Amino acid sequence: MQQFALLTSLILIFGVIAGFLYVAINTSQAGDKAEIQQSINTLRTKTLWLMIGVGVPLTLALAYRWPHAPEGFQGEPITVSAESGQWYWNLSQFELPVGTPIVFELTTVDVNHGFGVYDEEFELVTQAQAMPGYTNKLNYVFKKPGLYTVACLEYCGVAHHAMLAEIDVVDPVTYANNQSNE
Amino acid sequence: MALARMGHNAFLIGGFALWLFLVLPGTTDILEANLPSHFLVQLPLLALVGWLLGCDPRIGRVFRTADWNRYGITGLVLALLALLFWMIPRSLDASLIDGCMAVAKYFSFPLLVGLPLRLSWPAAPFFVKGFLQANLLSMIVFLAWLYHAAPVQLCNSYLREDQLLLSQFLIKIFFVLSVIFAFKPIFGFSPTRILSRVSEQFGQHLVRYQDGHS
Amino acid sequence: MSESDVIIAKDQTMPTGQVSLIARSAILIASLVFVLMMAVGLLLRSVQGGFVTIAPDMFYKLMTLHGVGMVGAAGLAGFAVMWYFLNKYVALSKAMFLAFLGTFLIGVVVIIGSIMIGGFGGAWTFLYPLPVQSGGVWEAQAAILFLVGLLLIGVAFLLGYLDVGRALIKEYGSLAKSIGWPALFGNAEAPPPTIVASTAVTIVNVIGTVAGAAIILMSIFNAIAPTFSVDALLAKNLTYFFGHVFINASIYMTVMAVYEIVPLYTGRAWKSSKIFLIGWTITLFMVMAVYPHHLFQDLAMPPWLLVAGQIGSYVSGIPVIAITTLALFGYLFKSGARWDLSLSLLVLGVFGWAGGVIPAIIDGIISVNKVMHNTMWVPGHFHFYLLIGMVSMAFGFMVWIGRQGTASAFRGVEKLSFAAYVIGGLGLVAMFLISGANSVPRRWAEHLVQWQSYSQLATVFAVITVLGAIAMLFYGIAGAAKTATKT
Repeated sequence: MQQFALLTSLILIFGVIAGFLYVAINTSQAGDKAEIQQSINTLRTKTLWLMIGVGVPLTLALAYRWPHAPEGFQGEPITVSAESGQWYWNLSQFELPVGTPIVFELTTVDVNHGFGVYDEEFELVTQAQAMPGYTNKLNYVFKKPGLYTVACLEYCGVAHHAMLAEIDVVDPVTYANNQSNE
Repeated sequence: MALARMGHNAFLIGGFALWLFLVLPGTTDILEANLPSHFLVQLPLLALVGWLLGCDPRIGRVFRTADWNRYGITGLVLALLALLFWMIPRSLDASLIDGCMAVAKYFSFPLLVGLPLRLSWPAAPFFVKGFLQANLLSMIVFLAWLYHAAPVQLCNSYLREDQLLLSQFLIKIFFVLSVIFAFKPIFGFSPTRILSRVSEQFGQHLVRYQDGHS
Repeated sequence: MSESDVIIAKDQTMPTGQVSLIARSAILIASLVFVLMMAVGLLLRSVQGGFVTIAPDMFYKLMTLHGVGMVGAAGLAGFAVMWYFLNKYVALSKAMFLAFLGTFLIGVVVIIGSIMIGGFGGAWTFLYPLPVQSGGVWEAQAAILFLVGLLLIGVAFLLGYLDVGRALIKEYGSLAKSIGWPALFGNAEAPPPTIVASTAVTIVNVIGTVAGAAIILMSIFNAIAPTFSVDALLAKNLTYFFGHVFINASIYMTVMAVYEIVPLYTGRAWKSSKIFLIGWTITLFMVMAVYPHHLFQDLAMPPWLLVAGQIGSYVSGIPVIAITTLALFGYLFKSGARWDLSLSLLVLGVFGWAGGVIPAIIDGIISVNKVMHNTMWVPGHFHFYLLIGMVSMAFGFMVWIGRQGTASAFRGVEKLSFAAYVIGGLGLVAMFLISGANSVPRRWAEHLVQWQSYSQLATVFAVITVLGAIAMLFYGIAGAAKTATKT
């Protein structure tokens, strides 16, 4: 997702750069004002229709499947309470099964915090805010096992960057065994 | 002739009549029975008394001296200070228990809020008016929050439910006032002009209708 | 005068005398703050890169200072630009501008005191309840002081905008007329671009100030009486509404320099075409409607508001790219305009705005936001349209106002400074965006080792940017000094 976003942005940004460079190179020459105005008007009409005709349906389509409901979120979920505070995460369980729908119930005892989940390669896989007075329910399905890190993603004071926790994501059989052993 | 003289004194008569009506024991009992009507009906009506009195040009002549109320600043500050005092829940509460405070309220709202406002508002420069309007809007949101967030009963005489109700009313008033304040700057005429236009047209229509039938 | 010299275009209708002096002073103050705060930003990046070590509380104090200083300076620069050019068309009060500037500067002093003496480090967004719940790092008094400082700045801008509103209404009859609705919906003559844009800015910023003042009053009261708690979701809505409107309005105000100065170079007047009017009317509503895109990860928000935020985010970008940028292209293309420092900075500014809109729109998609929100992507997009966009336009105005009517070539050293600013700025922004795409969080005093190389490269680019910016400030001061000795 992130790399796709970066690539899309870079392509579009380079398009804008190319437009500016082309115009900048041609600025000092003389040209027919009316003719240029005419072609700019045509270009503008096309751009407007493109941005409205393609972009608006696209953004609608991207919101059509509710983005906060992850794919494969089926069946009975496991509910994990995640209480946050300056500067700690207190999860009801720190071991979770892979491929199973999880509901993180995010709360905070003091200020706003951001519940950001990082995988083993330290890529952000999902996040939601924990805010005073509310229980935000973050739905997620871990796609691969490993040691995940929960990091705070909403500035919360002097130890914001040190507000970390770990979640061990294991296969469902191991998870079930460990649960029954407890 | 008598009617004309009465018309001449309409603002004074209206003002004093409203004043008298508002301080009648029966009226005060009803209006002070709950917080929203006390805050949002009685207090504005008491201020309206002063405003009506101020509409009489003779009162205006007595008070509006360029020496002390240039640009309406003095009068507006006076009105704001009086208003600020009565916005403290404890003051309002005291007016229900303490007779002196009650009398103070019945006199200060007309004479220290409504009257100075009427005498000063037209003279105030645009930025003063706009500044006060913007501040009033922020203050209404703030008060709505204050009455909503109060963990305790702020007044001895009113319950918490009353506070919550007042808070909801204040939010509604905020939206109505926002539209009223924004209307003239945006459209260039006061919303009341629509009313007068409509009634004018209606009147002309009526005249034409009568002409057609006579 | 050599062949490469060009006379910086001067227009007889441009305000001179005291108006020019006031605007020049204000833009120089704002630019000085820009450069100082850039130096602070450079320090922050070098700390994240592991080059320099400072205590986290100091890092967050400086981060707060950097944010509030930049936002304040952006507002001041934008207001100075708008105020100067509005004087061409309407009668504004110089006394009111000085009242604005005085109140603004008092607010700045109070805020600096709250941070450097009071130790406030709750970030410029003062997101409730962090200012009053610091975990023991700073006292509630410091937060109150900070909030009072913000309130003073709000009062300052309110006074300024009220005077602008008054002048617009006096000249055009109403704000509906000065934003060009009679021309849009009928056949009336459209007001000049600066008037149209000023009207939109005035409306949204007065509304924004009302919202901002309300949440600041609540926060102050809460700091005094903590049992009166604010609903955290309401606080977030009010704060981001105010913040989004304010910072966007600062770009809208600064772009008036492009509307007014570029035609002096191209000989093609910037016109209030129908599409231009439509663009500003859409912007007027959109800038107030899209703030929920800051709240995508607040799952307690009503979903329809989030969807509206996503669509609005995209729609807001359309006027910037399809109207402002293409109009600029049409005015520049084969116009015979000669490049100099001022024109280059102004065009760079529009590029920064248009370019920055792209990563903003991408992050404004909820599903992308899920893994990009509060990463370095966010400062990436806003440094794009503020550092390369808004600040470049402000610098362009500053250089132009100091030199108008004088002979000036685009000298080699100026080209070098300009190149430094462009390369440094683009590199800095690229490092932010790449870091964000690699999940590096924003607002972290210490970075993981594997993230430090991004910040180290960013530090190098930041040094280049600061050097370029110092050069711009130098040209601005030199121009002002020259004009001062001439008059």
